[in-house]
Amino acid sequence: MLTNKNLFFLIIQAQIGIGILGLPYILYNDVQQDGWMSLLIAGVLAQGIIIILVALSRTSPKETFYELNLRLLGNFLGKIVSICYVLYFISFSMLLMILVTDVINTWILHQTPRWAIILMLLIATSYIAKEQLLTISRSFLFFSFWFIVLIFLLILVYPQDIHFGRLQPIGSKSFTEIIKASPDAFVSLIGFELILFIMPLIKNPKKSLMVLTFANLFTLMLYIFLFITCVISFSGVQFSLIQEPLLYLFRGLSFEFVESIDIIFLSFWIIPISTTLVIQLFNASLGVQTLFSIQRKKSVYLLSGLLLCLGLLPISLTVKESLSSIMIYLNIIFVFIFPALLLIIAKLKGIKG
Amino acid sequence: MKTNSRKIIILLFIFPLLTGCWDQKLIVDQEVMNGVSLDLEDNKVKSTIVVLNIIPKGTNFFDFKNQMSSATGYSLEDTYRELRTYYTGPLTASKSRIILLGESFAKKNLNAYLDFFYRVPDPYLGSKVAIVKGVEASELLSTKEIGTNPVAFGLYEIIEAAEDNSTVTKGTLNTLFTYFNEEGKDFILPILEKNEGNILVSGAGLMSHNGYSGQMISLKECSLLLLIMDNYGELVDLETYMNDKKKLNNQVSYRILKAKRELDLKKDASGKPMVDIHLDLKVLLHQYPITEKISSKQIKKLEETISRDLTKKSQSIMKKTQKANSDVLGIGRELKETDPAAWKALDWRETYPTIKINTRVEVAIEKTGILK
Repeated sequence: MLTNKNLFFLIIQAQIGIGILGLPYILYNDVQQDGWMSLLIAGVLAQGIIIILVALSRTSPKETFYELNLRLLGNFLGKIVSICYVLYFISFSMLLMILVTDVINTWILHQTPRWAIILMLLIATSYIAKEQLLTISRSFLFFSFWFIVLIFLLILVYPQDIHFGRLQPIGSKSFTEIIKASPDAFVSLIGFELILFIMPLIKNPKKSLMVLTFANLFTLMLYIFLFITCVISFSGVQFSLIQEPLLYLFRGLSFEFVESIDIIFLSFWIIPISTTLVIQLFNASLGVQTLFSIQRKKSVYLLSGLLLCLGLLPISLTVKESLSSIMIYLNIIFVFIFPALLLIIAKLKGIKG
Repeated sequence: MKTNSRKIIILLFIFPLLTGCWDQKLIVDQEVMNGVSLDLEDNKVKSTIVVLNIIPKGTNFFDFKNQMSSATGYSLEDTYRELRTYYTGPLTASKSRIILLGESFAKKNLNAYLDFFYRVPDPYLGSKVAIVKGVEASELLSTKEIGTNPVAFGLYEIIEAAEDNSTVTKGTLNTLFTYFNEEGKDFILPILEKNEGNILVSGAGLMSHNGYSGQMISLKECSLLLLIMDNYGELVDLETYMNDKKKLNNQVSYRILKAKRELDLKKDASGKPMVDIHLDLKVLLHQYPITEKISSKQIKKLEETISRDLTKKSQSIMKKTQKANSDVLGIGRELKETDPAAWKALDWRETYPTIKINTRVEVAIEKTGILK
């Protein structure tokens, strides 16, 4: 059974992933120095959704989301929704892997083909994802030391040539623009939907809302800290050019004995990426297990093989971009709208029954 | 039996993965350029690079040799293609120490030329950038060594020392990237000169529009400029003549212990921005023309003299930056951040040389060294 501590680290590792690298760039191009407000709004939105998700999974704490689905929507409709969810997790992992391989290809391994990087990632992630949830969460706890390193490295940026004034003028963008940018920030906060699938495994379900709130707060604070550090270190036009601002921050750092911290950092950054991927695989494999009654271990391997095959497909820049923009909406549909509808149905049924 | 065959299959999978990384660039296979210089020659770019070859001579002894070559072309990429052919391995800028810019090259829009360094992840962004005055930049690179260091490392250390002594602001290729794209703020670059075979940092070149304005702040005034910019190094030493009549051995010099700068952006009657700069210095006297006891009355007088002198000097420095149209203080940026509407209405390039900048320096002597 998962304790609160395990749950906390599971959630933050699920949330923090690719967003660390690209989020500040995307936000800055939308609303410039006011990006942290969009982040805050996205955080509040995420908090609202967390409340809905927890409420939904509390309606029957002994069931995972897939079982709940089948019970509430009936066999046929429930199965379709479950399949949709599995497909959603697969496409999310796919996009994640495409983005990761892109970054690795441009920054470190210039000649390694995409499939090789994807294979490496999948071997590592499926190795963790096939285990019991408790094992996963314990390994995530260990990986979380990495965040301390990240925060420490970010603090090292501060003695450099920074200018706090770059945060000014505060609120130069209109409120609607700031709100419009928040879905972009919301994508990076996703990961808490995991709670739907692990509710039966939690030791103390009553505390889960509080744990999730803290996890969300931690992620949000980390992102805001990161965004502010980027804003004060980069000048306006420069920031709008740099696609991976975090790596560029570290590219500028150099010490007597260590150079190219960006490359060293990038090698370690694979960890939070894989943890996100592990969670996605876990969610999807749980779905496959419930739908087709295949052992979860086997379904993890099955999904990994499928993802590897998808990774072999040639993916052009346009496909990648359209996939990322579709994903923004898919996220909102699958993480927010579907569960909200289900909650309403569950409440209605509850009143009837 | 079954487990054995399974183990063998797993091993067969693992072995190909254990052979190590093949997508790698070993530093021994590469020709690492340590220094780069860029000049302008008949409207073409002339790049010169120095590659350091270390020649081992028995245990713990080694000699080095600089392999220098240059190429001309219409772009950096053009010259790079030619330079590549001179060396035995692939060229890399991943460990370059110094980038020297010839005076005429520096006057171009540097941002457009240096894009090459920023767009790909390999080049090292910690290298120092300097303008070479008087001679071609490539000539400095042809020096074999500076002190006991190979030329590129020697130049790097010279500039680093100048940063510590507050001659120029701390800067690398990386900070340059930030400055290039900053609205309403210009920057300075160290100027290197050759003086009877020795290379020295002779001042700070004022940049305007991402190019060298042609004006520089001389070595003696640099530290004060850095104090006004509020971006000084570890050591700031200044000196003042006791009076105008006598020059020989009539100087008091002092070290800055604490500096506080206030920049007050205001608007004059016609709505044009004007600036009041107030510099508050706490100093330690470290040289006085006569070794004698300095009375508190004399200290008062000394403080006044120094304050008057520095105020005068700072005025002339600010005039120079205005003449060069180089807003090194970032007054435009300050305006942009505090009053965006006013910033949008102005063309800062035209406004900066005409605005009024008042400076006032106040000095308090805190210590007189170990002598009273």
